[in-house]
Amino acid sequence: MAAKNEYVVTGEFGNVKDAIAAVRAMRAAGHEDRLEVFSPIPEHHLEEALYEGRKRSPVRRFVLLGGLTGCLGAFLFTSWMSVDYPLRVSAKPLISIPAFVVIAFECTILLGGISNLLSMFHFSRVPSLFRPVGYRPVFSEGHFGVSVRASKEQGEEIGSRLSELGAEGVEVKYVR
Amino acid sequence: MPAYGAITVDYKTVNDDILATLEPPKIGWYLGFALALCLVAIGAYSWIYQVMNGLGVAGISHPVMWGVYITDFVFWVGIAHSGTLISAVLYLFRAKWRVPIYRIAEAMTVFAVMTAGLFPIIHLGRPWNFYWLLPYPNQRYLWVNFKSPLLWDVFAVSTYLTISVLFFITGLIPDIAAARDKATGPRKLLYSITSLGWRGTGRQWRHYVAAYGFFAALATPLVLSVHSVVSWDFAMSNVPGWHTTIFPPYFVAGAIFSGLAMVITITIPMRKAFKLEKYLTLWHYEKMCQLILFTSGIVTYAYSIEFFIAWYSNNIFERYQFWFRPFGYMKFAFWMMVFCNCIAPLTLWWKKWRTNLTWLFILSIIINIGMWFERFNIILQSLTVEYIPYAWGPYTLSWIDLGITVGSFGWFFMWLLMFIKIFPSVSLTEVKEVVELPGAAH
Repeated sequence: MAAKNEYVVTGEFGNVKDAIAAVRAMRAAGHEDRLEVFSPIPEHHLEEALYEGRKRSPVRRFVLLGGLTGCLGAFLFTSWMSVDYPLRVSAKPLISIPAFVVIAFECTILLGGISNLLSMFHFSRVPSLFRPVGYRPVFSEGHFGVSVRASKEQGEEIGSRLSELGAEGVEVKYVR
Repeated sequence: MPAYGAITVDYKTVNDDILATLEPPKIGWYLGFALALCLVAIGAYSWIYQVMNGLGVAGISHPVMWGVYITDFVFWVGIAHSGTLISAVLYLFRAKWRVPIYRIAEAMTVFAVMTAGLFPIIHLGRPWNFYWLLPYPNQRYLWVNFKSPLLWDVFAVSTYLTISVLFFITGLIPDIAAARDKATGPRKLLYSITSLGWRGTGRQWRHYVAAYGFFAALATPLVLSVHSVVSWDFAMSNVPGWHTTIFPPYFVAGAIFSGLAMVITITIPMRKAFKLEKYLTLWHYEKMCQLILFTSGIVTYAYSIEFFIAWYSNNIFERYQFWFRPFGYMKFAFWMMVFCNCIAPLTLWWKKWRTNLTWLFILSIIINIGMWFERFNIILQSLTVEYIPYAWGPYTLSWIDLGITVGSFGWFFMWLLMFIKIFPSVSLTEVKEVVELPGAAH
């Protein structure tokens, strides 16, 4: 979301190569932290251009955390419950690890998957009630958008730069 | 590298073609839906009759206490598996032919697990107590028996349903966002809510791609584990014909075999009705056929090795069981299985047959009949003749069993037909990722 009293300049690109060039140009011009793109598909060259030199998505840590919680939790609850209500089956030990591996495996996947989804939602800011400034329906259809937050003077300059780079419809919006 | 089967269209055409599948349905859809509802009504009536009158009205009786319901359960869990194979395993292998079919295969997974999950409950004498299977704190200070494969099944199937639904939703979000941007009226509201405000920003895609990869990586071992656990319901016991170590891989291969056949059964009419010939080409069907041939080979091998081991073990009970299957009074089911699963798929060795969609549609139904009979053989034949002849006993199919089986098909297709008219049944986003843009140079 754009901060208050800012301009958001959004350029629409018909193909991904121009959009990537625009992203690189904007980063070179020092707008790295105020840059966002809209894309109909996950295009990894675009992602590279946008996040070059940044850390990888932190979702993986949460998957690991969820998975480990599920695995340990399952071993703990199966063992505790088997002791709390002792049920001898075929003269096997009350805590029969091989049998509990199945439960622990399933719980690893279950909690890993749930925390994967939730952390992805968290980091990608969904569910979201607000439409980002500069978003156009055509961005989900096939066009790419490059959007930069800037002050008024910079805004006009960025707008003309985006047009030079091949943007079709450059739009400057004031965010109050 | 332009691969055979690649599609050359622009993004807008993909968007329009796929969103056109959501237009108001035609007469064929209504007829199909009405038929599905009738079947659901038959199933519901049969089940209510069984609940009111007790489990005795079903065909099961001593010693065959697992009958058609468990056959149906294994059948539907099996159908589910190839959906996950296509959506997760082939995603990890970067197999591009999965793209146009993965969404419908995933929908098939979700609805097939929803169908399968009903059967253990239908099979309970007191279905209203189904939650006793879950380890929850209760007044009686009882906990469940974690050493029982049936309890592993509860965990496996419920995890499978949850993860399949989450994976399915994750894939749908960007597509619903694309549908939202074109929709009007109440659909706009529906898609605005269900797309969760997805805008396809760089930040969103970055985390989305990571999460999608993890889902695929989590679902891959899960799918192998679920049918292995289902097979342990049998293999962990000491019934002749069940107690074998070959069961997990044999069940997983059989599941993929039948699930792929179901994908073909579903996509051939869908492709025609939705005019998706451009996206779902014969190349895709050939790839599916190759996988069907491969898994057919595995199940054929498994059937033969069962006979070899029965002879080699020198165990009279095991030997008798495997004499009984092809030559006993239920031999019809055995030979049906052999014809449908081992012989009929051999036609796919010829390109002429493999690219003939009419034959593929017929064959896919034959395969699923065969796979239903495979489970019927494993479960019912093994229980009919166990150890001492005094305790042998036949199984008589009742109309309740048939009604509920037929009802399960209605239930599955009811959900599937609703789905294809509400959400995009082909992934817009992934098709856009693989299409060759017009004039693109490589």
